[in-house]
Amino acid sequence: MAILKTEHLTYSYSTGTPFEVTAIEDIDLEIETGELVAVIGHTGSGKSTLIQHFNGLLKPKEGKVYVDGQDIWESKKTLRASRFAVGLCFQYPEYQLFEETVYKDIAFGPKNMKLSEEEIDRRVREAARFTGVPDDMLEKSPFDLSGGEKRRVAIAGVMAMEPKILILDEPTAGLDPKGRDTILGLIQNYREETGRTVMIVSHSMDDVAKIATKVLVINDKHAAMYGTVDEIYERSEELIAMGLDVPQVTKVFLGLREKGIPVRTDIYTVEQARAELLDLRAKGVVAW
Amino acid sequence: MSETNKEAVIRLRGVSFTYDELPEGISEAEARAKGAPMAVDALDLDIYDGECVAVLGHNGSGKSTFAKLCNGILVPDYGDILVYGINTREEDRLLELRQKVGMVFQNPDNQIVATVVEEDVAFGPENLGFPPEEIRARVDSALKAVRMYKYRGHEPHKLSGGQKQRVAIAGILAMKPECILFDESTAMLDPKGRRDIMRIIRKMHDEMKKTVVYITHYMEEAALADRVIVMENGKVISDGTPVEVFSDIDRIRAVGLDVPEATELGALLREEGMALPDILTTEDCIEALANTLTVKGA
Repeated sequence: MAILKTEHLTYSYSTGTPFEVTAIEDIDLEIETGELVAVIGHTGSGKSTLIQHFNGLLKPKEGKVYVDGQDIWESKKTLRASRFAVGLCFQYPEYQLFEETVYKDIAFGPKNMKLSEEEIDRRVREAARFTGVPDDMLEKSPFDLSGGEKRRVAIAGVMAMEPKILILDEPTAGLDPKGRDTILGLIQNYREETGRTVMIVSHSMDDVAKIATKVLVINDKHAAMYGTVDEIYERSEELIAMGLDVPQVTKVFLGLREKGIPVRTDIYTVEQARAELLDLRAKGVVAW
Repeated sequence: MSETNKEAVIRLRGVSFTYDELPEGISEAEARAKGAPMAVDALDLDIYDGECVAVLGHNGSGKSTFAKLCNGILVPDYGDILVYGINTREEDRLLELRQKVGMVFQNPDNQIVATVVEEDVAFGPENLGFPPEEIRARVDSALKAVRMYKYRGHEPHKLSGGQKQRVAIAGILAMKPECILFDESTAMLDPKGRRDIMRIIRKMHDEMKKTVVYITHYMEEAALADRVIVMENGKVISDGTPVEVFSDIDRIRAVGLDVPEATELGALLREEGMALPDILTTEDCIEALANTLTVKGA
């Protein structure tokens, strides 16, 4: 069964005023349990508006949101349940740390869920393990940590709520390649170990293609594409037309095709690019 | 690689800096013996007039500290920095220094001070005490240079990140500096915003003849510079043209950075016997491959 489903989801800002703007329109989605979905779209495409519907931060103007089969707006109780079922980690979450110690910060969410002390402790330690936060860091002030460490602590705080769906908005923004790979690696590991659903919002296909199982492309208020990474890359020209960044090798292969070289254009890693050219040579299509 | 015919406008000699609190008067040898971590470590470096330099390095490599030292935001614990002949230790000449060298930071939200775009851009020249006509002229020309003139009456907080960053750059341009430092000014922007800022950086160098130094960890951006400096542990470990620096893929990888995919693909294909020239950009790569590959039966 789909863990997350939307029907005709529509939202507008400043509703009922002359400044009304539709942010998302008629979005139908079905996301299966255990997927790692990359949500791609450029600034203003509606992707942030969309994800804020998944735990009831925004109320749809039209349409429905179902989490685990439950219409989240059915009652106050279902709405509250959705806040725990869907964990949302905002952009630059490190600016949201506020507790005296790292431990207390990670424990904040589980505490609000009114769990027992032992259960909170278990969750804090597990989330710390997932995010590579060592034991001795738990007693430190979050403000004494480096930027990368703070971000991992903030992500741990959401993981500790053990949400059925973990949503991370631009979790690698502003990080260097090493920091980016660390964050993506820990997210991938979290999903593999727990089997829970994860969504990562990004404006770069480049980053998330490495770990995603599915890609959701949001363009101009609509869900433009949903499919596997390979399926989406077959349409890389459309992605570029939408103003999205695709990997450099993808652009190179699109350029070669334009110059009349009969290469595939669903290439997105350097290794695939090399293999494709060797394959074409073996088939006698090209020579060098 | 140095352009010996040009004047060094920023000169670092034996510069060391640590964020640790050092006891008054402690010698460099003693500080090192105590294990003070040097964010910038005995750095000797020259930036020449009219250069377009990219500084690469992972978080914590010392690249931002380097930029802040050049602008006198930080003062070296040891060694000296001469910026357009001004030693950054001369506190009474800091204002003069900052008029020569402007700096654009990473977070667009932290650099806007006014509630209207043009007032924000006017902030610098107003503080320098110019007459109103001069301020007006500087603000207009700076906003036009970053293509934000039509937004001059807008509220900055309603602009996108990339637009805010362009306003911040206009604020620096209005001071008419000789040199502009960009401290990861594209890191928080989306792809379009990043491309816009890179275009402006190149324009400031190519057309406005400014000396430009930008700190980044995007390899594709670094590939657009004339000179690339790679930092690691507070030291320069590689310094040369983008082609020179990126040809050593293993060394770049070893310090937690990537090379542009086009460069990496070029290296892999050379191993397969393709005779390819140096490749840095997407366009280089397409052209090189199109020239090298022959399609049979075509």
